[in-house]
Amino acid sequence: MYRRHFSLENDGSANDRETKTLEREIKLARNIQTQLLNGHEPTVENSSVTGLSIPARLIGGDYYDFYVLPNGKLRIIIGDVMGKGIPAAMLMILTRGAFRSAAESTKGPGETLTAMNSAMYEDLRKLSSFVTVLCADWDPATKELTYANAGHTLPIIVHPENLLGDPPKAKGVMLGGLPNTVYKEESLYLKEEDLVCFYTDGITEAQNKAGELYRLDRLNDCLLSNCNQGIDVKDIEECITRSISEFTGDCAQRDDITMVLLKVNHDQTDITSYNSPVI
Amino acid sequence: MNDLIRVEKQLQGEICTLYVNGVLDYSTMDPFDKEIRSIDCNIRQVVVNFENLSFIDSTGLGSIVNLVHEASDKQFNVFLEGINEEINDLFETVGVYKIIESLQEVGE
Repeated sequence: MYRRHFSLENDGSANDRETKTLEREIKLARNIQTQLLNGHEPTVENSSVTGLSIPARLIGGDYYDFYVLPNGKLRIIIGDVMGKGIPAAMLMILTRGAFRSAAESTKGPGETLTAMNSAMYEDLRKLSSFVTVLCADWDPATKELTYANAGHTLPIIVHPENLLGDPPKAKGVMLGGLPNTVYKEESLYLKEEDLVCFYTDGITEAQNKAGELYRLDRLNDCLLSNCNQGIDVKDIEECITRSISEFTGDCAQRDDITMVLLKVNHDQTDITSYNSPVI
Repeated sequence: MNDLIRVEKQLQGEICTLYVNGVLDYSTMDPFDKEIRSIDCNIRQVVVNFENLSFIDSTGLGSIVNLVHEASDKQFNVFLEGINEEINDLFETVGVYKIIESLQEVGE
């Protein structure tokens, strides 16, 4: 019965209907991904944070997320799923689920990545895929940034004196690379007005018509020339997207572009009230 | 047939060398993956030569990682050669060398 029905319907109009259904489903999938990715940006004491992801296709495989921990720290993750389009987007959702559940039950970014790899390893190997992620805990009280790395590029640190910082190298294998991997943590202390830029390779590998890549140097230059005192993270984000867009011109975007910016604000805590003597 | 990539295979006894010319990315990985799948059980060592590789993306990296896992399952060794500084940094960052080191240690 089904076969007969199918053969009768299998003409041009049926193909059109199937194409339209597929288009509608891809749009819905894009909506789901946009909603999940672009959640509200958390409010963190003495610092500002923002995130942005621009997929190269309708949907993408880049990922960033924030998780506010009960102790007041902010857990940040940024990642890049192998491949592009719908397959990468499906694995991005898997990554998000693994991060959300690991973030709740682990003490630091190293443990988070270890738990994520344990949860995802078999699935990723079965699908011959992998995910690179960098996970960081920002403590606004002590200004310590602790991070662990699963095959991702390290963040760029920009100091207000127009200097680039040199974050301690944290190396680790991509998620899905090896079973039972333990991810080590590194940490650094930030100062007021310092900026941290987490990013994916879609930025540094953005290409112009001449086939040149945007590269890390241009990103560094853009950050240094725009990271003025008091500038808002949203404005810096806009400067970066404008710089990439000016560089690539009419050239089609090849890879997903994602960044997370964290800026340390002036300490506005009224410490005098804590130090006032009890009379 | 993909104009962006050419994979040449050279067999010498138990050693199979794959010369990757051009771009190894999302749109070109099939010829490389096909060669990996065709490696038979008599091969003890696979050498991948990247001297003429102009670009590799995450999908291309995935193919290399799969080759290393395949090598562990089928018990042959993988050697990567002709790697330029940029690709070396990429392999270092994502952990390709650590995977080779770890899986080949287990195999030995």
